Amino acid sequence: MGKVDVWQGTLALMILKTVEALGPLHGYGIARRIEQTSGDRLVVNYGTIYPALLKLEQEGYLEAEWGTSDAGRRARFYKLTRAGRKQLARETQQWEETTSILARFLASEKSQ
Amino acid sequence: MRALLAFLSRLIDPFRRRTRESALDEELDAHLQMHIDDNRRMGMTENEARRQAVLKLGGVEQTKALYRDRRGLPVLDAVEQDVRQALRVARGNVGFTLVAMATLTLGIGAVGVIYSVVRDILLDPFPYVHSDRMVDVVVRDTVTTKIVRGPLPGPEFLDFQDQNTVFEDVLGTMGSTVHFVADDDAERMSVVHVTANMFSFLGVAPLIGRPFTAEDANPSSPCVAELSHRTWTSRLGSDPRLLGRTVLFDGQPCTVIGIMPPRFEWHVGDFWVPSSITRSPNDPNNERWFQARLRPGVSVEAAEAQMNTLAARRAQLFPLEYPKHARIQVITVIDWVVGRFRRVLYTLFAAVGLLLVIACTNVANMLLARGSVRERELLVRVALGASRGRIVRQLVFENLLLALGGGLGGCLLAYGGIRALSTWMPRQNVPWETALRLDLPVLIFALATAAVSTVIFGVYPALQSTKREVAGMSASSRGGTATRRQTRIRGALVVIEVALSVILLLGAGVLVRNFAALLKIDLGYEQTNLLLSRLAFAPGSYESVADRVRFYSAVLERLHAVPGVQHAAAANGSASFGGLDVAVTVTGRAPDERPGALLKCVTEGFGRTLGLRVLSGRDLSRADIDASAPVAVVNQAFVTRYFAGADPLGRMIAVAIPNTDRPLLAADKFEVVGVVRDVANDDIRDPAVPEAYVPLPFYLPPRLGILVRTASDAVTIATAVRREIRAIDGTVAMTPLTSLDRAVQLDFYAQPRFVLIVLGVFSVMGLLLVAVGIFGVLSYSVSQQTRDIAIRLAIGGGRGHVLTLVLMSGLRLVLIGGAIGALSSVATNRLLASQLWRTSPNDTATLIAVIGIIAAVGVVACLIPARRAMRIEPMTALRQE
Repeated sequence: MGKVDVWQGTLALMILKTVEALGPLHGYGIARRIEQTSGDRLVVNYGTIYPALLKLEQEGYLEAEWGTSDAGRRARFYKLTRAGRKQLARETQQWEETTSILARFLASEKSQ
Repeated sequence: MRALLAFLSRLIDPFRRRTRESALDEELDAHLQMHIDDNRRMGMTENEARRQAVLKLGGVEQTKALYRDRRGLPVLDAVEQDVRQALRVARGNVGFTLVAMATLTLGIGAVGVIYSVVRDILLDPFPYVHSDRMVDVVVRDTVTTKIVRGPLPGPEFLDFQDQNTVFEDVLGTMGSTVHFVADDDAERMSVVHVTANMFSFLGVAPLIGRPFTAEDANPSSPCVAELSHRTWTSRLGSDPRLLGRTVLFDGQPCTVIGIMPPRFEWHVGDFWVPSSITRSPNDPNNERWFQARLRPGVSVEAAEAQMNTLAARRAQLFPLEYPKHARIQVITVIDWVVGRFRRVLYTLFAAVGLLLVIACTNVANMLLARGSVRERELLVRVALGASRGRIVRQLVFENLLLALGGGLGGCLLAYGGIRALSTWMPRQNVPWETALRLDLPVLIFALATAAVSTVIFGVYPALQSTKREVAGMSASSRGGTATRRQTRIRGALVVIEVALSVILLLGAGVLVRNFAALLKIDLGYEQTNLLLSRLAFAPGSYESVADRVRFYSAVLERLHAVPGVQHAAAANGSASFGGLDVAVTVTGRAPDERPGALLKCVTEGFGRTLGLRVLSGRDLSRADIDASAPVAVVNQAFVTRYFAGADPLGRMIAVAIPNTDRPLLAADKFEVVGVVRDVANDDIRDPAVPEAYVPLPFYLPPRLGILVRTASDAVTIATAVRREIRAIDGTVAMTPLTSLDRAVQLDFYAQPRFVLIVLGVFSVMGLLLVAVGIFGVLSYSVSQQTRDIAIRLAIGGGRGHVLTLVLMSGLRLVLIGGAIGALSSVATNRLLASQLWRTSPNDTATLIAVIGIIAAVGVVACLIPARRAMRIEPMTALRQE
C-alpha cells in the first residue's frame, strides 16, 4: 500500500490524539510522531501541521506556550485543554462507530 | 460555538498581525533546527541535513500563506490591501485627489444646505399638528387683488364656522398691542386673542403651567394669559415668578397661567388670551382672522368653492358686506406667510442644482481622464495575471475613497452652511416658527449618489479598456476610436459645464442689476441718523388732549437739549411711513371716486426733522400747533390728485376720519398753506400716495411716534433719548429705539441682498469648477496628442502655431457652451421676472460682460496646457513613444 495523502479533517484528530498520548509537544514532534504512528504510510508535508495547529488553537482545543525542548532548543509547545480532551473523546467515539457500521456493511455485502 | 470563537479570533487578527508573523517565523525556524539536529544525529552532513529538513517541511512560503489565510479572514485582508492601495494612489496624485474631493464637497454641501432650507421653510416650518392642512380664509377683491376683509366680524365668522362642512376645526385669532405692566417698567406687548380651542387646534401644550379652557374664554371669567417663550426669555428675563402672576394689559389685570414652549409663535404674540366670539355686529373687538384645518382629503379648491357658496348665501342677506368683486379666498398658511419668498427659494434651489451638475460633470471628466491615463498600467496588470475582479475591486475602493472624502467634506460644509444661514438669512417672509436644521436623509442621499456615480465613472471606462486585446495595447492607448469617443464625451461635458455656468452668471447678473436699481431708490429725505420709537400712554392717564400736548412738548424740549440731537418731532406713523387713512374732499370740486389720502398729525419740527422740502407756501409753525390752527401742508401727489396740479394754496380741504376713537378737535376743514416734495410713504418701490400734514392736536391717539434727527451715529444717543423720556414719565411705554436706516435695510434690502450673495457665491464656484474642468480636458488632450504635436514641430511648424491650435481647441468648447448658455438664459431669466423691480430680465451689457468673463476664464484655463504644448521638445517626445 502506497503512501496516502492525509485528509485534512482527520489531521486534527490525529494531532489531538498525539498530544494526549505524549503530553505537551512542539509542532515538529507532533508531525514526526504522526508519521511514525501511521507506519510511514502517510505523507505528511510537515508544513501542513501548522495551519491545523492554529485552527485547533483558535477553537480552544489546544493551548500553546513557548518552552525548551530536550535538546535545549526554544520551541512552541502545544497541550490539550479540557475542551480538547472532551472533543477528542467525542470524535474518537464517532470514528469508532462509523468504522464499525461500515465494517458490518462491507462484510454483509461481501457475503451476498 | 467553537466555530464562533475561531471566527472572532480571526476577526481581531489584524491587530495582532505583526507579533503573529514573527512568532510563526520563530516557530518554523525552531522546527527546522530540530529536524536538522535529528538528521545530523542520523549521520547526515550539515548541508544534507538542512536540505532534507527543508524538503520535508514543504514550501515555507506556502505554509506561511496557508497559515496566514487561516489566521485572519482572507476577505478582510484583501479589503485592507485594497484600502491601503487606494490611499497610496490618492496620496500619489494629491492634486487630483484634492480637486476631486473639493468638487464633490462643494456639490454635496451646497445641495444639503439649500434643500434643508427649502424643506424647513416651505415644507415643514411649523411645529403644529397637521400644519399642511391649515388654511387662512379671507375676503379678497379679485380685480385689485387687495384684501377687502382680513379678520372677519363675529356674525360672519360664526356663520362660516357653523355652516361649513369642509373644515375639521376653526380657530379665531386677533392680535393687538397693549400697554403692559409687570413690575415698574411699562412696555408695549402684543396680546393675541384666540378662541379657546387653540391648544387642541395647534396641538401644542404649555411648557409650564396649564392650558386655558372654554371656561376661561367666558367673558365673566377672570382674564388669563399664556406667555410666549421668546418674550419670557428675551424681554422678561426668564423670571420664573411670572407664572401665576397678575399683570396689567392696558390697565386690566390678567393672570399668567402658563408659558409656551419655544418655537410657538402663533401670530407672533407675546401673550395669548382666550376669548369667545359673539354675534354682536359692528364691534371692532369682535373681529377675528378665520383659520381652519381642512378635513382629510378635502382640497383647498373644494373648500374655497364651498366658502364662496356660503358667502353668496350671506350676500343675499347682507349685500353691503360683499362688494362687487369680492370673493372668499382660502389659502394655506404657508403660502400666506411665505408668499413671494417661495419663488426666491425655488430660484436658489435651481441654482444649486446647476452647480451640482457642474460639479458632477467635472468629477466625471476627471475620472474619465485618469482612467484613460492608467489604461496602460491596467492592461499590463491584466497581462501579468491579475484577475479583472481584483482590478475592479481596487478601482472601486479608489473611487469610493474619493467619494467618501468629498462626502465627508460636503457634510461638514452643509453643517457649517446651515449654521451660517440661520444666523445671516433675513427673516422676512420666513415663519417665526422656522428652525433651520440639516436634513439628514437628503445628505445621505447626496452621499450615496456621489459614491455611486464616482464609482461608475471611475470604474466603467477602465473596465472597458481592459476588455481590449493586450496585443492592440500600444495602438489603442494612443488614440483608437474608443479613446476618440471618450474625448468627444469629455468635450461635450465641458460644453455643458460652460453653458450652465453662463446661466448661473447671467442669473446673478440680473439680480445685480435689480439690486442696483433698488439701491437707487430715494426716499426723498436723508435716511441715516434718524431714530424712531413709538410711545403709548398708560390707560387712564393723559385723558385730555391738553395733557397729551403738554407731555409731547415736554418730551421734545428735553430731547432738543440732548447733545447730539439736531431736531426732534412727534407724529403718528414711523418716519415718513404710516399715518391715518382718511377720505378727502376738496371744497369746490366733485369728490374723487376713491378719495383716500394719508393724514399725519405732526409737531412743528416734523418737516425739519425728516427733511421735507417746502416747494411753495410754508411749513407748519409752532404757532399753528399751539393754536391748533386748521391748516394743512400737502405733498405733490396730493396736489396732482385733488387739485389737478393747480395751485392749492389758500384752498380748503375737508377731511373725514373713519372709525375714530376720538372726535376731531374742531372743524374738519383745513386751509392748505404749503406744498412739500413727495417722500416715500407707502412701499418704497411705489410712487408716493397723497398725504396731508396737520397740527398734532387734531388727532392725538394714545400712541404716537417720536422722530429724532441726530448729528452722528444714533446708537449712543439712543440711550440718552430713552433716559430723557423715562425721566418725564416712567409709565409711558416705549418701543426700543431703532434707526430708520436699519429698518429700511431689513425690510427692503436684506432679502434681495441675500439672494444676490448666494447666487453670486454659486456663480463664482461654478466658474472655478469650469476653469478646472477646461484645464483638465485640455491638459489631457495635449498629453494625448504629444506625438502629433512633436511631429508638427519637427517638420517645421512654429511654436506660436501650436499655441494657437491648442488655445483654439479649448476656446471652441467655451464658445459653444457660452452660446448655448446665453440662449438658455433668455428663458431662465424670465423665471426670475417675479423678483425683479424695474429691471428687464435680459440685457445686452450683462450678456457681453458675462461672455467676456467666461472667455477670459477659458483663456486662462487653456494657457497652461497650451504653453506645455508649445514647449514640447520634438526629439525627446518622439523618442519616448
